[in-house]
Formats: sequence, structure tokens, C-alpha cells
Amino acid sequence: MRLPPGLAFAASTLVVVTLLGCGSDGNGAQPTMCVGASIVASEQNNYAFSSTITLPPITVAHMTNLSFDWGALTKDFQGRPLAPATGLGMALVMIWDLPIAEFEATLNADELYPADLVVSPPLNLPLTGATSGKLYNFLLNGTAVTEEMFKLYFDANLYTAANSTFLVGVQAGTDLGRDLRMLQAFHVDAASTVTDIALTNTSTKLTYSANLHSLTIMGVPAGTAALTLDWSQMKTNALGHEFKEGYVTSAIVGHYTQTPAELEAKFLDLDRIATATYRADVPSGSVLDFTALKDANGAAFPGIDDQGTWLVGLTCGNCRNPAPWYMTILETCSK
Amino acid sequence: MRRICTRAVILCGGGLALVLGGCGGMAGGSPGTGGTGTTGSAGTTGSAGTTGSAGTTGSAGTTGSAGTTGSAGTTGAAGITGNAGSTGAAGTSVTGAGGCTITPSSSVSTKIPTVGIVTWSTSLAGVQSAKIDFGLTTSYGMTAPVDLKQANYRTLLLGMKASRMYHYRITAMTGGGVACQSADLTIMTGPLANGLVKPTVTTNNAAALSGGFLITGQYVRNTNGSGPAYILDSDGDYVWWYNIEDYVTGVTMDYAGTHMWINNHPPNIADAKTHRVTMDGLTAEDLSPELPKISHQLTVLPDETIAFYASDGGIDGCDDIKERSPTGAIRTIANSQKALGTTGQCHVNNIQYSKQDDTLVFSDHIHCAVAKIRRSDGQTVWILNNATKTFTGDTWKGSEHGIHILGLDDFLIFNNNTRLIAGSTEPGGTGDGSGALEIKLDLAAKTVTQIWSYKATGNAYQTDVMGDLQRLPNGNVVIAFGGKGIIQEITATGTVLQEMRTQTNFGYIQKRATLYGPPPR
Repeated sequence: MRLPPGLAFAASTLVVVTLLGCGSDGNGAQPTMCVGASIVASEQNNYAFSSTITLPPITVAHMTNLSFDWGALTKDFQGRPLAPATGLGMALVMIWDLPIAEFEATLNADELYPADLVVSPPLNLPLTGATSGKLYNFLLNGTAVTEEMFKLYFDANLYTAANSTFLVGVQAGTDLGRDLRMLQAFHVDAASTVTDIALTNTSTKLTYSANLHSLTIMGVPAGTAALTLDWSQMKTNALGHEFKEGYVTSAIVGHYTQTPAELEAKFLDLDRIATATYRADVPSGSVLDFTALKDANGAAFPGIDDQGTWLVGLTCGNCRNPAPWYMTILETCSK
Repeated sequence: MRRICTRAVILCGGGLALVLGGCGGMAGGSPGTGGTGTTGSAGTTGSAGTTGSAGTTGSAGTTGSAGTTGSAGTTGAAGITGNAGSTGAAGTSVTGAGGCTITPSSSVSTKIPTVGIVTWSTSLAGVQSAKIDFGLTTSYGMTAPVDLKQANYRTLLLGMKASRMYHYRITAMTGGGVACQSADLTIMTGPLANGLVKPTVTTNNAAALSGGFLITGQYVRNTNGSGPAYILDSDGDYVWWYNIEDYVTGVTMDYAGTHMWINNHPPNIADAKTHRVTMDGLTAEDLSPELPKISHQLTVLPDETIAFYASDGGIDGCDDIKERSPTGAIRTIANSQKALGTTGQCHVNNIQYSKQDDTLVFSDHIHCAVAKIRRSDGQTVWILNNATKTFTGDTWKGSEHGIHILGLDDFLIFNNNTRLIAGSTEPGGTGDGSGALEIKLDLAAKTVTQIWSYKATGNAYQTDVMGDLQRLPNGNVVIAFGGKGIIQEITATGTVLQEMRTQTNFGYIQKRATLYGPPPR
């Protein structure tokens, strides 16, 4: 699943999706391979991840000044708390040149292109505490749009459920399409008299599956920062797609007090529950030098210990889905 | 980042140089089979003759050997190697009368590891021109001119793919035609930067493509807050890149081919940035404070002046047309609203320089107009298409972006054909595909005639933002549906030869046959 530019999630987190229905066996049977200081990433020591977004559409009147209301939101589509009056910076309206089923399929297959947007960049409405907005107040490239022009695009005779999908979304911040918190799909219909669209906590449904319990744990020396991770041999990423060369742009190591099984259950919150986090950019190449990892205060990665769980992840900076392409568990190993 | 440095001393002897005489084949080996040429040059890459004379008055080849036995050349010499080709291998250590040496050194840029940096010296006296041929094989294929004013004849090898071994060869020449040539040398390029998204390229007719390099930028935001300006080669491979802030739209090499001008167009134009970067990426000037609220793109004039447009700060957001001189002086030439004689909001989105009459041609998206103004005093020369037009005749709907000036009376215009011209009272287009128009002006009768058009039908090609185009020397047109992340190369009859798609959008484009020398437009 890769979201297009207009739908990019925040990618600063180590992991943004959580596990549903998966868990570690918890019996200690998960294999560990002592690899010394040099980790070679492989499909066998990578976690697995999949996700599906569904966007149940509603039908509303066409060629009218629709009202959007997101004031009732208490959670975003990832289940995180959301305060609409203070936590949002922009509302968007997008028109996709795909019917909803195809849109969802393309979205989930990570194959959406800007060419699929009818109007790009999307119409948007900067927010300063508002919890609702009217369609005709939305801007295009910072410029007001006339009612007549809106009607050209919200015309059920042209943009039918069979050929297009409308989305209204709200996001944190004002970077267009970044950090979207909720989306509501809709169709316009000449016969409909509905003019109000309310975003609810279930407007966007995200299901996901992550698996940390089937991978081979990488055993590395304790207290050693001079580790490396080489992913040059990877063919398939955790999402089941091609592990394209040059797409990994950053790496992160996190330490957790939880077990892997517990982390699977809290996958969504990995970035927030880490007791220590170390990050590094990967400007080129396919080898991470762990000595480049720093925490938020600039402190260097000290190496791992035998307390809790250590994870290392690799993320794709230009991908719409921020789920790491690679992630594995590190354990101390004296071999 | 891998750096490969080579250093070698190459000797070539022979005193009586011929034009392009070369070192009689620095690669050594066979001296060639064809008695190539009697009066002219004896081949440029091959060998200059087999046994007899390797050319009579011409040169005895540049890379090959200059004859095998006997004298390689009748009136001249057997190349500067003198006995260049006595037994075939006129190779690397021939010592002829007046022998010369070339001492090269090479590395790749630490900022852009596909850019080779070659420095060299030669014992050849009176060098007046030089070049470096380079390519993936010893057939080379690309040529970098050497600027002899540069210290150590520092020369950049531009256009190389990442992580590949390239061959190169240095040739120095005197005014009298004496040449000195290195053996084949190699340089290894470094890896691509991570995070560059390779476009998907679909080629329908490779033989009909123009080839060359595409210069553009990534017109969306990256998760890491920076977007690349970049150059793709004819295979769609990255050969150059430089990251500035996100939403890169304008990427333009200067006339000298030594610098890249890069600017972006972020959602908040107050955040717009402009950078001038050496082609090796090692020196970058952030000129943003000098060019506040610059938008879309700029055009570079032959003397390194740039013409650009930036908000005048007025309520209508109209742009001033401005210039920045090489010394940094900023001059306002005209206000777009006044130049067009319009009212209301403005949205200038393209500017091009017309060298023939020292004018600037710009487009205003909201007013759906293209206008020409004089650089000298900002006076309007003509206005096309909108309510204040000064020429009658054919018009277009749905506004425009990129312009390619083909002459004083001939222009290509990217027609957005948008139905949604925010803030405009001009008529919208059909919204079912953007395209290209060629318009011909009758400057005396003040009329406009559309003489060619191309439309890519379908929503995928309907870009309401951005868009650019350029006619190529072979008559093809490259057209960028920038906001939709699609670039096509089409024939004059509209046949799509190649289509390139990206998930990250394109900015304005510049297509070049070579990355050296003046820009094509």
C-alpha cells in the first residue's frame, strides 16, 4: 500500500501500523542466529506486514455547497486520539479518476499515481481551529475557486460512482496531504438531497497485520555500537513488494521493555513506547553503520543489552506507506 | 561513497604533429587496417593506415594507431608520436621527437558521485584546445570540452550513470594542429543517492527518440523535507541530482553549462527558495534572500543574468518580472498586471528569453495570456489570447504554462486545457487532456494562427498545474504533464514514442542533447 502524494502518512515513526490477530508464540522457540557484528538482512530475518484501507462511501447531492464536519472525531484512522479543534491544520477534498473499489485496490497495492487525481493538487482549506467547512471555501493552490468551477467538478453527470471517487480528509499540519488523520469517501448524485458530510472515527477503516514472531532473530555482541546491517541481498520487502535498490533513506533502532509479542499488539505505538530511539539517514548505499545512529539529543547508539527488546528498522523516505521495508529483532549473543 | 582516482603518465612521442594526430594510438594494439585518408584526417577513432602512410596531410587518427610501419603521414608526421606506429602499438610510451606527456588525475564528486572530475597536465606546449571523450566503452560517445582557463584543466564528466565504470581519453591540441592524446583511462562512478524514485519508462519506438538528457525536478514533498533536481539520461537513469527544499519546479542549466539554477514552488510562496549550484555539486549558493517569493521557474540569459517573476506583494498577488544580474543586482522590468493591462489576480507561470530581440515572453495562468516585453524598458510588445490581447486570430482555452520560443513569430505553448482556472474570468478548456499548441504570428498584420497542436486525451493527461514542452532538433516534441507525473516524447505527427511516469510529479523541463554548452532554449 503506497499512498500518493496527496495521501502521504507521516513517515517519521518507526512503525505506523499495528498487529491484528497475530502474536508471538511466546514460547522461546523463535530462532536466533548469532551473526557477530555484521547483520545481513534477508527475507528470513525480516518481519512481515500487510494492510488494507477501506473507505465506505456515502452519497450526497451534486453541484452544491457541501458541508463537511469533523468535529465529532475523537480518534484518527490509526486509532490515535484526535482533538479536531486543536490537532488539525488542513482539510482536503480530492477527486480520483477511479471508482471506489478500484481506488481502494490501487491504494492498497501501492499503485496510485498523481495521474489518477482529477484535480491536482487537491482543493484544500487551511484550518485554525474550525471543525467544519463549506466546499466553496476550499482553495486551489491558495486561490479561491468560483461556484461555477466547483460545479464543473461536483457534477454527477460527469463524475459518477462508476468512474470516480470523492474524498474529504483532514490532516495535521499544513503540508498538503501529509499526516492525514481521517478520510471520508463520497459520491455525488443528482437525486440526493444530502448536503452534510460528517467524518466519524470509522470513516476510514484500516486493518493490518504485522508479524514479528516468524523471523529469525539476529544475535549480535552486547554493548557494541560498531554493528552493520547490509540489505543489499534483499529481494522482497516486508510488504511483499520488490525491495528496490536505493529506496531506503533512513534507519532507526528502538529499545522496548515489552516482549516481541507485546510489541506486536502495540505496533501502532512503537514510536511512542520506545524507551530509547536512535536514528540515522542513509544517504546512499545499502549498509547501515550503527555508529551513525543518534538519539534525539545527539547521543550515539551504545549497542544493545539483554534487557527488553531491540528492534532495527529501515524505512523508505519517498514511499507513501511509512511501514518499514525491513525490521528485525536484535538480541545479544556471545558467540 | 566510492571514489576512484586514476593517475597516470602517458607519453607520446613524435614531433610532427598532424591535426588530430593523436599519440598514434595510446591504446596500443593494432595499428589499423585501412589506409584511411590521403589528404584528410585519417580517421578519428580508428587507426590511420596499415602500412604505408597514415594519411598524407591529415591526421593520423585520434585513438587508434597512426600507421603500422613506416611513416605515418607524408607531409606531416605520424602523429605527434613521431614514429607513431612503427610496429603497431604506438601505445603508451612511445617516445618520438618532441614527445609529449599527459598526466591525468580523476575522482568523482563527493556530492554527486556520478560527476567525474578530471584534472590533467601535458608537456605539449601551446595547447589551445582540448577535450575529453568518455563513455561506457572505449567507443566513448560523449565529449566534455576542456576549459583551458581552469586550474589543472579541471573538467567535469557529466551524464554518467551511477556505479559504472567509464572510459575516458584526453586530447590536447595546439593551434598548429599538434595533438597529444592520453591512453584510455577509466573512472568508476559512485552510487545513486537513496530516495530517488526511478520513473517508469515505456518506449514505443526507441529508434525515433531524440536521445539526450532530461533536466527537471521532483514537484512534490519528500518525507525527509528535501526534493531533488535531477537529470535523467535517455534510458531514464539518474545521472545527476541535487537536493534542495521540496517542491522543485525550476531546474535550468546556465549558458556556460557550469551551474544549475534550482528553485522550488512550495505551497506557501513565501518559503520559495533558489539555489545556484556548480555542476559538481560542491559549491552551492542559496540566493533565496535575494529572490523572495520567486515562483515556478526562471530563465538564464547568456551573461548569467536570470529573469524571473516574484509576487509584487499586492493584494492581487500579481508578479513583477525581474532580473538578477551576475553581480546580484535586482531590477524590476515590469509588473505583469500592468504589462497585460489587466485587473484582478495574476499568476505568472513561465518566462523565456528571446535572444533575437532581447525580450522576455511570459505567461499568466489566470489571465490565460502570453505576452512579450522589452528587457530594456519593460514596454509590452504584444499580448496574446486574453481580453487585452493585441493580436487577433486564433486563441486557446484553458490557460497555459510552458513556452518554447522558436522564433520571433513562432512559439510552442503548453495548453493546460483546464476547466478550473481558479480566480479567472477567462474561459476554461474542456478538461479532458492537456496538450501543445504551435502558434505563428504575423507581426505586421498582428494576427495569430495556430499551425500545429497535440492533445493527449484522458484525465491522466489533464494537468491543471504545471506543464512544459520543448521541440527537439529532430522535430520531436517532449511534453511534460508535470502535475500528473507524465512526460511524453512525440513525433511531429503526434505519435507517442516514449512515455515516462512517476509517482512524484515533474517540474519544468529542459531537454539537452549534451550537458555541455548553451541551453537549447
